[in-house]
Amino acid sequence: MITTRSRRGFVHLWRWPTAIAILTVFGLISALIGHSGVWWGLSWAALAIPIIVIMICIQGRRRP
Amino acid sequence: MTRSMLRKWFWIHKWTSLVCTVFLLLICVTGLPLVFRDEINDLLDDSLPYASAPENTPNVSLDRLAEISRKMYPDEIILFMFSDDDEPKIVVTMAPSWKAFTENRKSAHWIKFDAHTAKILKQTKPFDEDGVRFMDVILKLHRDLFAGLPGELFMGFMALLFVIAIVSGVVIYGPFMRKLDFGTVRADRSPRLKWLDLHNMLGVVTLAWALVVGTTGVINELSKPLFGLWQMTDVKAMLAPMQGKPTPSIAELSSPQGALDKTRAALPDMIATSVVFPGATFGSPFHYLIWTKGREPLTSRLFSPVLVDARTGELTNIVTMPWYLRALEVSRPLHFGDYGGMPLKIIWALLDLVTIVVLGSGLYLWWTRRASVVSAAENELVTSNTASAPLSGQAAE
Repeated sequence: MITTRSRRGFVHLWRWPTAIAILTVFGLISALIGHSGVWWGLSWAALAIPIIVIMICIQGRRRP
Repeated sequence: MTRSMLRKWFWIHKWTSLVCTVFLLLICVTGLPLVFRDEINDLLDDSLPYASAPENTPNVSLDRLAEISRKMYPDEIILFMFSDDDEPKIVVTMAPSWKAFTENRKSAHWIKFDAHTAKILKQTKPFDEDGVRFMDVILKLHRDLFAGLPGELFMGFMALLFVIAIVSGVVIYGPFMRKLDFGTVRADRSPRLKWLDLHNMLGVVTLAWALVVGTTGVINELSKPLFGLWQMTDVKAMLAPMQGKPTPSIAELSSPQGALDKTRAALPDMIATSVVFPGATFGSPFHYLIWTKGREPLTSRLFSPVLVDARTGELTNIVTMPWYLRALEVSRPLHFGDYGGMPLKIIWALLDLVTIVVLGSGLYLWWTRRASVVSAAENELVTSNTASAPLSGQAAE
């Protein structure tokens, strides 16, 4: 049974990875279906997030 | 998660990774220049420049290019004619016969024409005599290790192991990270702990991208069997009425330009890109096969073949591609990263570099395990991170 405590642990554990994965998938799809440069721009921005997160984690060694 | 479950997943992660790592490293390293394949090929291209022509200048007739090509190589046949919608070029590929081409693809060579003037801009010798080209070597290493179809299936299997390694990595990420904040890198303790944290952080941040590129890699490696399946089912059924008729000789062939015009008239919303002559393995012995594609960003990735009777010049079929070939077509851009301009290619290359670090750090973590007490070290890792361990106040917030 999932207790409130472990559910909060799950959310704590997965909120960042899930958000980054959703942004990645959005970025991958938007450049594929996008009709204008706006969609490409959104794709670049969304896919740059994982790289920025990595840089923050390595430099700051703290939560982004 | 119970201790034995975690141990099982840990075992899956370790062994799927270990088996595929060397090949994945090769794939990642060769993938790096392949991301910029178009740019590198342009740089190495020594073709003559295109003639300047006013906009909307019509292309020369394919019939004329076929005639010029056949005069240049009277003992050879035309395999296909490809026109580019980005550049004013038409490339005619020739070989001694379809049989020779099927047995050895290197028997083919091509002539590149200026689409507006029919001037020859470049031509290659049959590939056997033309030396080895840099990007071809890189592509072969990446795709099949110079081993053809068996190599493709092998590399596809390695990509599948990579996908399983990612999924199992996700399963064991939780137990390993439950006491830590996202992105923690404990750099001040042991190098092994630092690299474990880096491996976890880099792996989970690039998770979705690596899954997509890995999965589409597996699908791309299956392209030959998938086209073969299509040939044996749908195409065979389509050609059944023609069964037994001889393949048309060159003298009997109707006009390739006519085939193209018929296709354009029937499908005005599509762009016709290439004409495959009768006899191709993945085509028809009796028809021109004209590949068409859509004009929108997504539909321009989806190709539909049209069959035109190579004797009568009549359009016989507009073929609907089966779902598995559609999946293959969508997999290509998602694997190559070539569909969103240069910034997307740069992001692709950076994520590829990150994957190299994830693979390398995984190898390092395995290498630096305490060799004499391997299982003890793993047990310690597993035990200290299973659900039975109390949650720290910080992790539970």
